[in-house]
Formats: sequence, C-alpha cells, structure tokens
Amino acid sequence: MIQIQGLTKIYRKSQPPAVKNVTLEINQGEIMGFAGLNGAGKSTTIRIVSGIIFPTSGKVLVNGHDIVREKVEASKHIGWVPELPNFEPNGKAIPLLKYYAGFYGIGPREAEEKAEMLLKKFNVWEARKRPLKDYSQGMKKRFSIAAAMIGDPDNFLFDETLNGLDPEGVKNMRDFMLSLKKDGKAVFLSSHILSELENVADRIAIIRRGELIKVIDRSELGSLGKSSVKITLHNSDSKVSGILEEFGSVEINGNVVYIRDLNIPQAENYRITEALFGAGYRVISITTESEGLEEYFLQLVGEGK
Amino acid sequence: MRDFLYDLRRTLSGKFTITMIALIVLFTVAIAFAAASTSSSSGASPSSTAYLLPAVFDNNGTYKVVDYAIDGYGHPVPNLKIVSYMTYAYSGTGSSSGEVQRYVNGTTDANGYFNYSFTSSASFQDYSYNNEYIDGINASSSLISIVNVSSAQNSYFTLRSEGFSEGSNYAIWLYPVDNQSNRAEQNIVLHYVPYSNSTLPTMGVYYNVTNPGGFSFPISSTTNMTYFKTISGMNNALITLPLNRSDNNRFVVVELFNSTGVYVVGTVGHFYSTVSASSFIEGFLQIPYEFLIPILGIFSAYFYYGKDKASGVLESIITRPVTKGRVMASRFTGGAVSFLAGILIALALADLIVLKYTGSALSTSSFFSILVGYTVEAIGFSGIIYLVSQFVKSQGGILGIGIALFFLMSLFWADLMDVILFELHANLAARSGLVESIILDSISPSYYPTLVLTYHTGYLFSLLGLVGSNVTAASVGITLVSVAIIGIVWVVVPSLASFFLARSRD
Repeated sequence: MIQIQGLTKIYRKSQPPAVKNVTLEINQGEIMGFAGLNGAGKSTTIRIVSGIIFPTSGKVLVNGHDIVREKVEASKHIGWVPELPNFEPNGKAIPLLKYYAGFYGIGPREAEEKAEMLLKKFNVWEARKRPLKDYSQGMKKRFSIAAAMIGDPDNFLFDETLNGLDPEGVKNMRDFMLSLKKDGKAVFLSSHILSELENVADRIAIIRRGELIKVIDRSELGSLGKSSVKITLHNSDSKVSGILEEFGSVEINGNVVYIRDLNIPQAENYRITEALFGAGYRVISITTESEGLEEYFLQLVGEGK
Repeated sequence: MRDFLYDLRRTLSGKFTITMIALIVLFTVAIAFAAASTSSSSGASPSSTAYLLPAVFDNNGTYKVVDYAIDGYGHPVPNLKIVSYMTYAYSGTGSSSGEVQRYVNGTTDANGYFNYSFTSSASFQDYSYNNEYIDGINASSSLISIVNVSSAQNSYFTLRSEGFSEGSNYAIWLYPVDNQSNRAEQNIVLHYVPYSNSTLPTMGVYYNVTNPGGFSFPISSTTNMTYFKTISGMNNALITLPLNRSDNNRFVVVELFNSTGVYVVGTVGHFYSTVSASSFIEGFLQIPYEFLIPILGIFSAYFYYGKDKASGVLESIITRPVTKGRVMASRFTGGAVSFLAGILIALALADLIVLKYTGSALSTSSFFSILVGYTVEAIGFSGIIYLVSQFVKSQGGILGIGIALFFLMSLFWADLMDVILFELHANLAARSGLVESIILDSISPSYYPTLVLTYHTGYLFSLLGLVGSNVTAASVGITLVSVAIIGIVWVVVPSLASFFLARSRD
C-alpha cells in the first residue's frame, strides 16, 4: 500500500512547484493510473515514491514506512520500473540481479535461482551473457521488470513504462500488471496512453501542473463528462426542438436529432421518449453517448490553460 | 548498516578495485625493480664499469707493466682499450731538460690482462693510467701515477696506498667491488701479480669491524683481528666477508698475513654498506606517485560514484533497500580501503625488492610514514571528487573538474602557493615564512606525503635531500598532532560533507 500525503516538490524557488500537495492512496490489489501532460509532475511524484528524490514537504508511506525516514524498510516493498531503464552499461543480467538481490538480504544461491526464473519469465534469459548496453529498449524494460521483482515487493511503480513498447510488449505489460493486481500488489502506473489506463486501471488520478485534480473510479469511466443523446425519428420537424430543449441543447439534422449537454441523468432518458411520444412523434432509435476518457482528460487538463 | 557492508563488499570485490590495486602494485614493483637493480654506489651499472689494477716491475732496466681489468663485480674485463704511459725525466743543460713519455697502449686479453715490457736506462719511471672506465671509455678526470721513487732501491714499484702490497717479485691488490647477489655487501678482489709465473703463497685473511673513527690501519697483527680463512694457489679471488646488517656502514679492516703471521697487505672500507631504504624508496616513488596517486584518487571517485551518479545508473541502486548516503559511504570506503591495500602491498613488495638489491629494508616507522602519506593523499583527492559529484550533474563536468584539480592541486600547487607567498612578500628564509608556506601547501592533499615524511625525518625539506638543515620539523609546527589533524581533515572532511549532501540532495 502506498500512501501519498500532501506531497510537494519544489526544485527551484523561482519556479512553481513540480508537485503540489498531492494526496493519493494506492491499495493492495489495485492498479492506480496516473495521467497528466508532460511536465505535469507524474515522474516527479513517482521518483519521490521510489526514494530517488526527496519531497520538499509531505510524506510517502510504503506499507506504513516513510520513504524518507525509513528508506531501507520502505524500499523493500517497492519495485520501480522506469521509462528509460539505466543500468550499468557493461553489467550482465545475472550478476546485476544478484547484486540487487543482496540488498534484500537474499543469499547468492537463492538470488541466482530467482534471477534465472525472472529472466526466463520476462524473456531475457537468452541475452543473459550480453552486456546490458547491447539490449534493445524492450529488452531493457523487461530486464527492468525482472529487477523490480527481484525483492518480491508489494508495490510497483511504472513510470511511462508502456512508452516505446510494440503492441505485443504493451499487451504483455498489461497482462503482467493485471497479474500483479491479481496477486494483491499495489500498482501505480503513469502513462500517456490513456486507453491502456482505461483497460487496466481501477482508478485514474489526473494531475495538472503538479496538482491532483481528479481521481476517477473505474465505475465512472462509462459516464465521464456530459452525455449526449442521438434520436432517429420517423417524422422529424422544427417543432421537435421546442419539445426537447428542456433536456439540453438540441441540434436537428433531417430525421436525426441530437441533444447535447444532457441535463438529466442517463437513468431518466425515458423522459425524452415520453415527451416525443406525447407530441405524436415515432421514435425509431435512441442512443446515449458519453465523452471518452481522452476527451474528458483533455477537457480537464485544458481548463485553466 | 547491512546494506552499507553489502555494497562495500561488492565494491571491494569489483573489477575496478582489483584493477586499481593491480595497477598500483605493478607500477610500484616495476619502478622499484628498475631503481634497485640499477642502483650502484658509483652511480653507473657495475657490469659496465671497469677498473684497472696495474703493477709495474723494474728488473735492471727491463720494465714490465701488468694491467688487470675488472668490472664492478670483480669479473675480468676483456677487450678493454687501455691508454697509459711511462714517463721519465732527464736532466740536460738548458732547454734540453724535460720529460720523455712512452705510451703503454693496448687491449686486455680474454682474461682481462694487458702485459707490456720495455727496456730503459732511466733510473726513475712513473706509470700514469686511467683507473676507471665506463662502457670502455675513460671515466677518470685525471690520471693516477705510480711513482718509482728509486728503482735503485725498489726493483718493483706501484701504487703507494692501502690495498696494495709489494714484494720483491710480486704485487697484491685488495680491491672492493660490488657483490652481485647482495648489493649491500661488497666483495674484495684479491689480485696477485707475480713478476714471473707463480701463484699466491699461503695467506691468512683476517678482518676487524670497527665503528667510524675507532679504527686504526694497518692493524698488522692477527691478535686483534678475526680470522676468516686461508687462501693460496691462485692469482685472482673474490673474498666475501661474513658481514651482516649489524655491520652496516661500519669500517672493516681486512688484512692478509703470510704463513709466518707477518702482515702483507690490507685494506679498509665499508664492506657492508647499504643505502637508506627509506630515502631510496621515497626517492624513486616521489615523482611517479606525484602523478599516480592523485590520478587514482580522482578517477576512482569518478568510476566508483561520480559517473554512476551523473549517468543515472545510481538510481537503479538507490531504489533498493539502501540509502543514498550509505551507497556513497560504501563506495568511498571501498575506494579508501583499496588505496590502502594497493599501496600497502606495493610498498611491501618494493621494500622486498630494495632489500634484495641493496640489503636495506624500510624501518617500520618509515614504512608506515610512506603508506599513510600516500594513502591519505589518494583518499583526499577522492573525497574532493565525491564532493564535486554532489553538485555537478554531468559525467564530463565531473571528469573535467577532476582533471583540472589534478593540475591545480597536484602538479602546480606548490608553485602557485609560492607565487602567493611571493606576492605576500613572505620571507621564506625566516621561520614564519616557512610556516606560512607549509600551511598553504597543506591546503592540497598532494602535500601530505611530504608532510608525513618531514615529520618522520624530523627535518624540513627532507625529500630534497637537505636533511641536516637546522630547520627541524617541530620548529615549523610539523608535529605528530598537526600531521594527524591534517590527515584526519583530508580523510574525513570532504567525505563527510559529501555524505551529508548525498543524504539530503536529489
């Protein structure tokens, strides 16, 4: 479990905070998506949570341990997968994993077995004798996941990890994250690929200019923003506009009528049908359309620009 | 703490550490071997030096010159071109008086001998020759003359000095040469030159070891001397006296006595005379280490820490259960231990090499003075680069500053400080000026080895060979306390500052 409490990071006093008073909680068995434009503060937040940089104020608790004050204990429960993995260029997979494993108190023999298992699992085994500088970006990311898993942590941080992966890589990563969730791990995933966040995230936190502006629950994804209704009539005319304007902004295109910015809950859409029937119109079809995450996200982050 | 120890262990067993220790050791051993194996009391390699041991006989106007050439180890030197001459004076009237020279030139045979005979009616003859040759070329600036005081009284004549004996029909040389297997010890060449074919009659070899100023020569009596052995039946022999380190630099009188116990010939000298291992090792390490130690300190800090920090590689470690401060501390400690181990092994091996070739070993205090001086210097430079790494974010920047610091704080530091002192009109002839100079020099870790050695020798500028100057180390503030404080400062301050910055900075 990761608890981010009032997190603020100021790099330079002359500049606005990179992260400002962010509070967030990622529970065990949950995938928390983290969305924001470039420079919004996603990576800064994740780097603070991983212990790479220090917060200016606020705190991060990892399984109850403060990442600053109890760094060693907190880091035992964190696996970090960066966007651009940066390992010892001349290092080789097994010795490096064994070295990392030592920090978790894993003995050399167990570390070797674990390294072999992880390298095979993430399809890096064949390249184990090559220096890491010779790995492709995808291989580096797979190795990076293996490195994150060497200590079998309860919490995972994925910082733009999907970037640069081919479709197969994205799918594998998605499956892997879902398997982590199934195993009860907490996953904090920052990504630009909103459709992937929609696919895997239980909640999505949206950050803008360092401030957390919205946390969307998975159940809300289908009804984001304002809805619109598309109605196909058998005999549309100009009077339809007067009948439907109480439900929103009406737009008529032949027999197809749109009600934009619907001002009633979707559950009450039957009232539109009733009004049309009452006025003698034959309704062929009526469908409700909601804004997608992307539109909603762009709308959210665009506000205040 | 477990994370610190774990990373320290990994640092110490890493390839870079092993390479660095191997580099220090191999480099030091190589220069120790080169310096020790070519060291010689005469300054030239003994094998390329030749000495001439002449004898001249006069038998009723028939002169016989017997030259014998040996190298610095006492081996005969064949094919040595000898240029010498006999001179006699004649007295005439007016301008007809003067000298007549007869060149006695030739080449030694396979056994190192050159014989020359001639007849002359002159009653006085002098033999002038070059005593020393290096690579076959005369090395003596002046000729040595053997003066025939009166051939009427002496049918033989040769050098009137110690180490030479003259009998009615023979001459004996005792000549000190280097001992090829133990450079501390000198052999004595016994060269017996008969007028006609004969070998050395039975002789007893005696010696006496005395302190400087406490000897008399010749002793001419076996009573107060130690019997070594009896020799006979040869023309040339090498005598190696049973001396040991306790006889270092003490005078040894060696004398031969005939079978009836009558003194025949003797010589005196330091036949067990070692160089000072301390000044010798300091001497050959000083210049190479002036480059090696700061460079290793700077580059090790860069490769252990600065490079990884600037490139981001360190992030993949920091996300593990370890703190930034402990990663920095483990790398720094690993480097420091590596310096200590490398210099310790290198110095021990250098000491053994020097012992083999010169017979002199470092005293414990000299050993630790050199070890501590250079180790602290390396740690000091390393600590500075750790500190720089906390502020500079690029690999090139750290390396560039490191190289600049090498030039500034190692190569040109003393010169820069001299310029400052000059501008401040410091009087280096006065004690206060020397203290100011030492304080300024001590601002760089490169001065620390000099500081430690100055404290150890007790005199200022000991490395410049000015031991014996009346400026003692203590009189300019170089005491155990000040040296220890400066050492601790160089070891602790940059590293500790770097540690706290690593703990608190991104």
